[in-house]
Amino acid sequence: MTRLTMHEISQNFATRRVLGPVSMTLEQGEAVALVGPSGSGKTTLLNIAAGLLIPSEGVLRNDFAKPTLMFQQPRLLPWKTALDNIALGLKARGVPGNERQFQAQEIGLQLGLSEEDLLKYPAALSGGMQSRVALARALLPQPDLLLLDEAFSALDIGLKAELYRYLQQAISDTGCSLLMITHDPAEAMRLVDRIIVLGGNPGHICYEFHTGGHNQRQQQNWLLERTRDFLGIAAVRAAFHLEPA
Amino acid sequence: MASLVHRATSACFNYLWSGWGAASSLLLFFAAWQLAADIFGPLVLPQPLHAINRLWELLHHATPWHDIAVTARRAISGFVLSLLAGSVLGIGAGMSMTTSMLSRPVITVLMGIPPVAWLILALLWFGMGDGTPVFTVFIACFPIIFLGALQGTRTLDGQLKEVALVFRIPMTMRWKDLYLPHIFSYLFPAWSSALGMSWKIVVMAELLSTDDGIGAALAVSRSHLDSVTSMAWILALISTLLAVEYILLEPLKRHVEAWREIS
Ligand SMILES: Nc1ncnc2c1ncn2[C@@H]1O[C@H](COP(=O)(O)OP(=O)(O)OP(=O)(O)O)[C@@H](O)[C@H]1O
Ligand SMILES: [Mg+2]
Repeated sequence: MTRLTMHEISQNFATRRVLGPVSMTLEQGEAVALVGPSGSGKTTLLNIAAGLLIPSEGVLRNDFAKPTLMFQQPRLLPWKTALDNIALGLKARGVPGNERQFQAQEIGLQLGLSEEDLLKYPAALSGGMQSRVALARALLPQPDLLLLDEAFSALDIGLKAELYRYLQQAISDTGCSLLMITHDPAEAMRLVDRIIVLGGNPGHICYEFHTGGHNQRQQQNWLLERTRDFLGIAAVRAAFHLEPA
Repeated sequence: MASLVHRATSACFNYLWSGWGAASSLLLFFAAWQLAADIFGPLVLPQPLHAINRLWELLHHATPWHDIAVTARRAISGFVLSLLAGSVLGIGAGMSMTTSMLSRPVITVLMGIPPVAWLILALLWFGMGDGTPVFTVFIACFPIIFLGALQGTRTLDGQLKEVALVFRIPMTMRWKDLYLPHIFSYLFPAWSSALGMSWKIVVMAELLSTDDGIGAALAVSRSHLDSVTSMAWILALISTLLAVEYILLEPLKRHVEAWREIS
């Protein structure tokens, strides 16, 4: 069975422990969200999952063959056009020029970028456009594990709704697993099966919330209700330093 | 496609339009020259028109072209040598903390030595001939290019490397698509200032060490107290420098750094 397992993972920067110990598992086809206050170690944990950071302690096991990551900052290559940025992962795999340009254009248009935008360099794109290019870059190589660090925080509500639909479709088409960081509980409710709340100092898992309701996620009422349930939980409120309900 | 054509033509137009600024500042320069020539008299400073006429006459003979070609050959050889050595060694040194720390003071020393001092040494080592001007150009340009390459490589950050890791970019593509474009944005300005410098240094070296080339011709006209011919040669020098700057370097720079423009 393909899965991502983290066992008693901790991370120190210099002498300061910022994370851990944290244990969690992500099964194939599962979608999990990490939420928590700023500085609680979400990005650190995601970088460990992506293999970019070797944890100070603990064991990581990642069976996924093709993970991709969308960074918290877009990190586009400034000397490449949006189109070539999106195609980066395909180029790394040796897909020929025409083919990858075609695919990059297709996904770019689907994410609401215009043909004209796709020919621009990142410096000439708005923040929201840049983050869509970064999302397209992570999606195009058809990952089996998608790691997203605040992918939607730079977007307006209309675009968000559109991209949620797109992402859900892409995930159900390919069976790709998802581990995403977000600051928006309703967004997590809508996209994932399980929400992990990181909090405290050093960051650790304070609560795990199973969202349920697979078929109701499109419904506004259901989303509001579940989000209210989630925010009513004492452990969750404590993690975010909210006063008790 | 249409937008590409539109882009190219508008870039071309912008470039030509920016030429007006350069043209008017050049004309101002000639006006100031004329004024100074009127004040100091033709022995000290010939009038611009006389110098231009003399240059025109000179260019109708074969020898000046030969001199210009010889000078260009020396300048370009020295420049290309320092470009290759400086870029490769600079990138190599920049890849490790230790070598970049070790090389920095050496480069500071090299930069501090005036080209004339190198010229004297070169005369001792290479004697009269091509070796001396080529070496002087090489050694004067080398530290500038080396430093550009070193800084470009040092400023490669972990973020680019993480992008390379996440998308499993193979080593050759990593260099070609990620690292070299970044380094190049530091290298290119270094190359262009070294190219301008090579042209000035080569003439200085020729003045003292060879019997052909623009520098040697200048030495001859100076010994005849022929200020008009000297000025004509200086004009020739400046025009080639301007030509290289505006016909070669500037368009090249606009092309390779198009991504910097927020359009
Ligand atoms: N490379 C690093 N060196 C030193 N400290 C670091 C480094 N990266 C992160 N930290 C520290 O680790 C802690 C957790 O950082 P992290 O980026 O994981 O937070 P986060 O939960 O993603 O926050 P945010 O929601 O603001 O993005 C912070 O206190 C941060 O200062
Ligand atoms: Mg973060």
